[in-house]
Amino acid sequence: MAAWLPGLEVPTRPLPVGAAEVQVPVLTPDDLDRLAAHLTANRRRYLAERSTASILASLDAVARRWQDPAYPLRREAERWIAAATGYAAETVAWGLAAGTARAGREGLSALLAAEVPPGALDGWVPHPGGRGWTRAFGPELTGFVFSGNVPGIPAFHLATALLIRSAALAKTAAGEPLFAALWCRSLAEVDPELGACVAAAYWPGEAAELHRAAFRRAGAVVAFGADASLDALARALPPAVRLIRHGQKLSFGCVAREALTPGRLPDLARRAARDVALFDQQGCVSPHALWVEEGGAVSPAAFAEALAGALAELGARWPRAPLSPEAAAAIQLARSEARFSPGARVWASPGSTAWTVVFQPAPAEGLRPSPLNRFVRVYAVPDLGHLPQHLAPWAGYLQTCSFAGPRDRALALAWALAPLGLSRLCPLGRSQEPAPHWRHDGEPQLLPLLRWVDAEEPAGGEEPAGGKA
Amino acid sequence: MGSDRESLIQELRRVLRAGMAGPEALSPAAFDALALRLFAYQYEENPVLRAYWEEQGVRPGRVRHWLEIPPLPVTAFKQATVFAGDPAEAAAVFMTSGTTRGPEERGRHYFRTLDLYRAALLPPFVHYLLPDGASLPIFVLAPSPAEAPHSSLSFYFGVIVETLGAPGSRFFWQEGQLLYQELAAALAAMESAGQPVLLLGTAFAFVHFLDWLAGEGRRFRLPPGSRAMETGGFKGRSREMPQANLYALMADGLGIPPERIVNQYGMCELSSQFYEPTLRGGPAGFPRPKQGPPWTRVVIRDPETLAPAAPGEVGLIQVVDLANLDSAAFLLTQDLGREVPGGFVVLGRAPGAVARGCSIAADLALGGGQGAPGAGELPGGMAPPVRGDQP
Repeated sequence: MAAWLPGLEVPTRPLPVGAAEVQVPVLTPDDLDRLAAHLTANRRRYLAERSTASILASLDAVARRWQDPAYPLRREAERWIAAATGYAAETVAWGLAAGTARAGREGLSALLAAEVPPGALDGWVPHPGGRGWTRAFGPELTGFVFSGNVPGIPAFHLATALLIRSAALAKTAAGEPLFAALWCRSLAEVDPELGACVAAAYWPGEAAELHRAAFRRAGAVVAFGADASLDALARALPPAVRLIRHGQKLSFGCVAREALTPGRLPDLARRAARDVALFDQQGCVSPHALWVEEGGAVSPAAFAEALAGALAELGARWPRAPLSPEAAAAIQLARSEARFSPGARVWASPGSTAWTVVFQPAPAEGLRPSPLNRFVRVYAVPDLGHLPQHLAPWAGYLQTCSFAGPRDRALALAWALAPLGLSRLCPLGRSQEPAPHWRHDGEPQLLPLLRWVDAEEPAGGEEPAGGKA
Repeated sequence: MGSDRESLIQELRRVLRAGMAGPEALSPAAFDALALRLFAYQYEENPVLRAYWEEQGVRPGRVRHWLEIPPLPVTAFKQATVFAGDPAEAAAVFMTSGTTRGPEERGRHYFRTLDLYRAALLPPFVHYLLPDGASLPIFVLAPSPAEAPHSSLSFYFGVIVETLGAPGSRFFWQEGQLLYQELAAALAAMESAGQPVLLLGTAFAFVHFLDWLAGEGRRFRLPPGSRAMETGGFKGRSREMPQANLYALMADGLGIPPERIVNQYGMCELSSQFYEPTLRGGPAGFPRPKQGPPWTRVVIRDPETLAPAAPGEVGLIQVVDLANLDSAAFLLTQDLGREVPGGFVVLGRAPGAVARGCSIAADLALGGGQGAPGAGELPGGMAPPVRGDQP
């Protein structure tokens, strides 16, 4: 069943998802209200006093289970998610392994190190500002709303809640309602007490009264998805509940002229193809387009042709998901339009919409968003320094830039695009593997959930002992 | 190739004159033969089509049936001059409505002659709107051809009013505005005189008029025999509503029951139009099939492969319009539809992008990125296309 609901027994109904079907709970506002109360009670009993080390130990044990390809829950998730989303089985397996590994000791420790002074979640620590002490704690309950576009993502976010001693209640997406529940189950296998502090279930996105009941007690709700759904969610939440939005984003790739040599071309093309093909561009980190600089030993058009070849090759190993008529039509229309654009060249999978590369000189009006599903434009640009101008219409939507070329040029470009919203620079080919300590969309991940208590020197008092509760 | 064109025109005139006589006038074999002749002519005379077909490895002599001819995406009318002739010498040019991307993104349909257009539009209109041979005053909720000279829809309405309109027919539109008061007064006069009337307009104009009527607290009970034809969608304009709701509103505000209202599907890039056979005993429920004249064909193409879709499956609508002599007779629209008994239904414009998660969708932020046309048209005197997304 696509739900992990500690202490709650509810009827279920079948939900068809792609070529699969799953049982989802039938929930009332009262059910979710009781669930939230139950989670916060469990949190007080089992989680509030736990040490970071012991939480990390359990989370790491969960991560290790998921790294085993024979682990039954992983096998169930792989099989089911591939059928539901249509994503190539190998990419689903990769996504699940990567997403669950991120929720292990190494990833979570990196995140803690980046955001929280050592020990501040376990006891008083010297204030980083100088005199006095400080200590942090999370909300009793954190809500999550996940989108179903990239398998494995929920594990890391649920783990972050536990790290800050917060119970977690997650709403999963109609497109992939299952994984979060399976991960919670594996947590309960390893550590039943932690397993009693998390819940995940699908309920319909339109059900405002269910959102309200579920998240009324939460200190914050972290939500991923389309802007319209996030707006609707915001309207459903009581004003006291903070909404942390990860809305629609636009990512892209860049290849500097220094990287464009015949020797490196096949590797560059394979890297770009991987960024495009993984999860069929449905991720916010997936590139819509690549800007390729003129003046290198290999021309932007030759790069585009090599990319087309690499996408065709990858398509044999990782077939693209079957599309709805609307999504396929969107690709046909975008191809048609490109065919009649001056200076454009189109490489397209014959007899299907499986992949498309459109090469054209960078248009003055800026980037044209892709219809997705492995449709990528390659823009020739005289100098990558022009990008801020080309991307200006997308200010506020930029997110990841995957880059091939000299580091100093990459950093200069990232700094120039930061005011437009760019929040991540990564190597070409690594779009889908953001570092766990990434300031997601430019914001820290734990800090917005935490509250702090600062202690100055008490009059005539003793120094508090560090690390004591 | 001048003589080819002359003999093609002769043949097309004969076919159009036969009107809706159907298979007796134009057998499937005769349609195929004429389509292949048109293909050869357009391949020779229309550089854009020739380049497009060459790219696909298709040329006259290699094609055995019209279904094998790759249809030209209508978006080409925005980006290229799809015309067998010199645009400077065109008899007319009709333009699609503007988009948020600016006037350069308007499609242009050039004509060497409007005779074929005239001859193609009348017989189906009479067949589907005036099957009883009625002669009615025609009230048009759209600009006249004089007001919107580059609007194919206005030209179409102009020919209809001029050829078929009884005394009192007129355009209720001036300087980009629907003439609410005048239209209401004219309807009141028809109502009290017991004179049935034919209303023509865009769905969008009807909605505005009905909203205005409701605001005024007025309703009409137009005399029996009255009827209406609406066309065009709502994208980006006024409020959208399903066809059934629009017709219920029209029934309530005008007294014309849904079974006397017909939706027309057409577009600036075509010379012929498609209609619901409601007034000829076709189904009054929804969705209703659409039908075209004998010199047209509609093929639903699988959006994944562009091969003809299995019956009943959703796909992109291809239109073959043999009256499109000097532009392109084989067209792939941007609309999704599906075959139903007695015709096809239009499901609406294919979206710009379909995102499942947090990647941006094409229509976001830039306000209709993929050349989304204001299919509704008209405010500010924009030239309206005859574009029929299903409301």
